[in-house]
Order: sequence, then C-alpha cells, then structure tokens
Amino acid sequence: MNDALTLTNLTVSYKDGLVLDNVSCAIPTGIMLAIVGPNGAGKTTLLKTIIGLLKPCSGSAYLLGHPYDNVRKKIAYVPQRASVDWDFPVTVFDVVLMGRYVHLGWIVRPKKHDHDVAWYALAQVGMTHYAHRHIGQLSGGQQQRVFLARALAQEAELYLMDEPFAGVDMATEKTMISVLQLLRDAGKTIIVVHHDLQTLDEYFDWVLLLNIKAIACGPIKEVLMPEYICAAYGNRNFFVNPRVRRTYEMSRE
Amino acid sequence: MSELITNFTFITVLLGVSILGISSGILGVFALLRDQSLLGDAISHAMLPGIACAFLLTHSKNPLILLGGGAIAGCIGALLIPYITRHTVIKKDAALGMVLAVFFGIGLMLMTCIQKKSIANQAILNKFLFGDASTLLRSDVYLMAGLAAIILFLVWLFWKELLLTTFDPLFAKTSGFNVQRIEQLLIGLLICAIAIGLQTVGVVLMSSMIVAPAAAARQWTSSLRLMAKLSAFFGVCAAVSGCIVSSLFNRIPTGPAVVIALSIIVLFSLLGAPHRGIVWNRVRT
Repeated sequence: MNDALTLTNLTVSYKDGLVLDNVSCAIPTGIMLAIVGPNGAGKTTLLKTIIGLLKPCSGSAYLLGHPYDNVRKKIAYVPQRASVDWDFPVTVFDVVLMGRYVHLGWIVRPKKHDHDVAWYALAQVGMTHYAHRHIGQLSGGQQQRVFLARALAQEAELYLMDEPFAGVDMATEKTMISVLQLLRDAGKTIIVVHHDLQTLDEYFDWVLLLNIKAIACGPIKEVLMPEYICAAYGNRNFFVNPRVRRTYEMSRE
Repeated sequence: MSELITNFTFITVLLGVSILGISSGILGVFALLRDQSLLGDAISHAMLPGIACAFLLTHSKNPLILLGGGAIAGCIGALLIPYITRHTVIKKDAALGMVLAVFFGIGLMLMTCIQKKSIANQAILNKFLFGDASTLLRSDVYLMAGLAAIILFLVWLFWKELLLTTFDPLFAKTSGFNVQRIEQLLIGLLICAIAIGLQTVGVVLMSSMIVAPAAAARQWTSSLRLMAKLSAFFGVCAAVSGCIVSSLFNRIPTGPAVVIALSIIVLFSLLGAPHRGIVWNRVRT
C-alpha cells in the first residue's frame, strides 16, 4: 500500500534564504499527523509546496503515491481562515458546495447529489441551522467549521489543514477533532499544522517536528523526546508538553 | 418631456443606456469584490489613444472601428499592469496609475494633433471624452446589445468559476481551476463593457459606471446573485435618469449627468441600507 505522503529532499527558498531544507519523510495512510514547529519553521510553506501552490527548488512530494496533479480530487486543502474575505456575499451553504467543484470541473453546475453531500458535510460539523446565513455573521469557530465542511464535501482521501484550531473556541475544537478522528477511523489521512504542544498526544497519532529541516517524524511516543523538542524549539519550550517533562525527569533519575 | 418619450430617437437612446447599465452593473460586482475597481478606470483611459489611432489611420467615424482600436489599446494597457508589477519594484496601484496617466496623455496628444489637422468627422472624437448619449444611432445600439449579450452569456456560463476564484483563489487553484484564465476572461469582459459605455459616458467617467452600482448593491444584500441583479438595476436607473437630464438640458454631457445620478444612489445606499447603512448602525447603537 502506498504512503499517504512521501517527501524526498524537499527544499524551498524565498529571496531571503531557505525556508525548507532537505525535508524528507514518509507518512502512512490512516493516521492523524500534526506538523509542529516554532514560528517561521516553514509549516505553511510545506503545505503549500505539497499541493503545488509553491514550487520547490529541488526534491519532490508524492501524495498517495502520485504527483499532486494526478490525485487532486482526493486531496482536500483547508487554508488558514484569514485567507479569505468573510464579508464576501455568499451563504454558508454556497461555501460548502464549493467543495464539490473539484469533481464538477469547468461550467458544469452542482447537481442533486452534490447538494446532498454538502448538506451531509454541514450536518457533520453541526452547522445545518446556519446553512442560509451569510458567512459574515459567523464566529471564528463557526467559520472554521464551515471550512472543514467544505473539505468534507470534497470526499477526499487526504486532508491537509493549515492551523484549523487557531482562534477557535473549545467546543469547536472538540467537535472538529471528533469529526477528524471518524475520518481517520474510516482510513483517511489527516495532516494538520498545529501550534499547541499541550494537546498533541491527546489529538494526534504522529508528529512531524519541523524547523526549516525535518527534526523528527514518527509516532508521538518516539518523537516527543526532549532532545528533539530542544532541537526544534531551543530550550524555551522544553517543558511545555507533560510527556516530554516526564521522560526528561525519568532520564535525569 | 412627453414629447421626448414618444420620440423614436430618444427610445433608441434609452435602450442603449439601459444596455450599458446592465452590462457594467453586473461586471462591476466582480471588479469590486476582487479589489479591482481601479482596473476599469485604467482600461477605459487606456482606450483613448487606441480610438484616436484608429481614427487617424482610417478617418472613419464607424464606432465599430474606433472601439476596436480602443479595445486593442485597452488590452495592451491591461497586460502592461501585471508586466510592470512582475518585472519592476513598482507596486500594483502605482502601475495602474501610471498606465492610466501615460495612455490618457498619449490619447489627449493624439486628439490635439487630429484637431490641428482638421480632418472631416473629427468632432466624433470629442464625445468619447465625456460621452453624448443623444447622438446614439440605431446601429450603435445593435453593437452595444451584441456586446452585452456576449457579456451576459459568459458571466452566466462561468458563474460558478467566477464565484469560486473571487471568493477563494487558493482553494480554486487546488480545485483544478486556472485562476489566471478567469482573470483574463474578466478583463476581456471588462473591455467589452467599457466599449459599450464609451460613446454614452466617455472614457473619463466610465469607471464610475462599473464601481458605483456594485458598491450600492452590496449595501442592500449579502447574496451574490441578488447583488448582481441589483447592481444591474441601479446601473439602468442611473444611466436612464442621467440620459434624460442631459437631453432636457442641452448643454450637459451625458457622462457627468449619469455620474451624479449614480452618486445619489450610492449616497442613499451608504446611509439608508438596512444592516450596513450608516443610519441603521447609528440607530441600533
């Protein structure tokens, strides 16, 4: 069986230097992976490079064993919430229906089936009652749910999400995690850019520790080691995660 | 007034300006939502040298030829803007301003040259500056209707793509839609819409026909479909009332009259619209 994501020596640079340096890793299907690292570690850049929005200087990214363009329909991308204008004149349902466009292609209009899928996606994130609201009337958490519903409507195999929990309320975070865990249990792969080390082992199966280079990638227990965290964050965040603190204390004893 | 309404030429003129109102109103919605309001201004000004060149070369007063020349110049102007931003350190707003000023300057220079040469029919060029609806002919209206039909059909056909690329271009790209193609399509349609309005409103004030109805419509609704319809309606209202005013008072060119009508609609919408209007928000707080 193919890996969900294979990165080989991926290197990306902007004008002022390297943003990603020789990142390699292989991520199996059917897991929830968090990409974590300090600010400016290249997490968003990594996602954008994987889906072809940015061109790497060298190296390659394979998704589900293929180049991105061949498996576009099976990859759902959830951009950062702030990337769109939430005052735009569309309703919640309109936005969720956009998840179906990748299957429709040019000119073809959404059909009954597409509407059904969009309604189901809205129900999964608990936003059915908001379907005909204007998106400007939503809270931050509700906006993020709408973005998740749009990704669900795409019925993808691999979900790539950029900071989905940034600025959302606790209830939304819990709802979204349980939806994502259901997806994982159905064999889908979920890759999330995450910023909160506290909740890592509660939510995720695997971690990719990133700071320009890939520091470590693997199951949580193997990656959340003091030396790795240290390499990614410096000493600053050494004790943020309870599991890291325990292993560190045990090693001292 | 009653004489005006039964007048056959006047009905032709009203038809023409209504077509203008609908097409620029609908396209304006996308220009406004894509933060490209100034693009229409740059394109319409950039069309003036094209019109003057076409006249110099052919000495024709056929609007099809003149507007064709204008459309070519408009295309060049529209293509220059991204070229400048990509290959120099100049930012987009500055590039827009430069293209607008440089092309308009060249256009005015050419027009002065033409005036000095005293070629026959040269008076027709002046109406492209500030517009004169009263000189619209049957054939002009047919041309305008043809262009408007193309615009309406293509907007209807690519509605889904226009919506997606305007709302979330990143997501559109990952959904397999070529965002640049849609952008080019919109610029092409914008050039058509401006060509429709040049004889009536003129290059100087044409951009207001694109921005103002959409800005007013946004105040009243949060649905893109309704916004496009309202914007077309406002466009027609302004174009028709401006046209009537300029016909009643012979010395007023149509362009300024239309713009004043538009300003009244926009002002009323900004103040009085529910939810977004200034008065509404004052009363609620």
